[in-house]
Amino acid sequence: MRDKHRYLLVEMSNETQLNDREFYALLSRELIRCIGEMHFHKVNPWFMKFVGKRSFILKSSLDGVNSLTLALALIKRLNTEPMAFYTLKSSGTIKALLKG
Amino acid sequence: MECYDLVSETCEFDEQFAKRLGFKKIFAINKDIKAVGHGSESSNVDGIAFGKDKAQLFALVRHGARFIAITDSYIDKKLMHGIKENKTVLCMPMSIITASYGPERARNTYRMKKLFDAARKMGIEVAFVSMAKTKDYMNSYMQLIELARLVGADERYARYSIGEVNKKIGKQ
Repeated sequence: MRDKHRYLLVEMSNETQLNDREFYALLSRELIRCIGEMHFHKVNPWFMKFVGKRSFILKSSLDGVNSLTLALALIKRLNTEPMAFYTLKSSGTIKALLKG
Repeated sequence: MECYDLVSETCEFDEQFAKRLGFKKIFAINKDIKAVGHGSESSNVDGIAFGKDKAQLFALVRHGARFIAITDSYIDKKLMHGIKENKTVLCMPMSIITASYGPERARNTYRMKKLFDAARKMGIEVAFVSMAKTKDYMNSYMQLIELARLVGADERYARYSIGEVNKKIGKQ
């Protein structure tokens, strides 16, 4: 059976010069630190795309949305730079997420 | 559901940002609610008291502080009974968890969980607020609900707290 998923719209406190790959590598390192290696596969986060300069979309399993939202609240730096993440919305489709 | 938050007076943000985070209004200490502290015990105080000194907090609660935040999250039985008797709302500043790191964060989470459990067992109303000193420590309403769940609240109470209880902060 296909796993259900959710998309999260996340805003950053600062702009980043990193590309998608570099950014997700750093973000997943911080997420693993917060969620834990054992629980990370349940959350199964995946970087979708940047929306503008300070927002991006993350995909997660439905069961892991709460853990991912909490982990994003706890991350306060990315690499060496101070960075806060604000989870603005969650939805089942990217289209609905970006609506309004 | 209308959501509300409370931040420190040093925290700078605009209304658009508050709306994006999902809050109808974000209250600020000393703008929307007066911070009451040392020296306020003699008169009738109406505001938020916060700090570590339990004797001082107890005096402020007895003199009518509407909200109280115990910043070290330690449970003091006398103070807890004072809070219950005076129907003061206990604020849980989530920036204590988000601003700490590693073992310190784990300790703070444990203490806040114990404080929340003790408060709810006694029937004290709890308000989950970020009380952020800077914009970096602010949270969206979704994140605030998850932080409330981290310290032991169920989702229903977390939503009630962020909506109904936090709304009282703005009422003079």
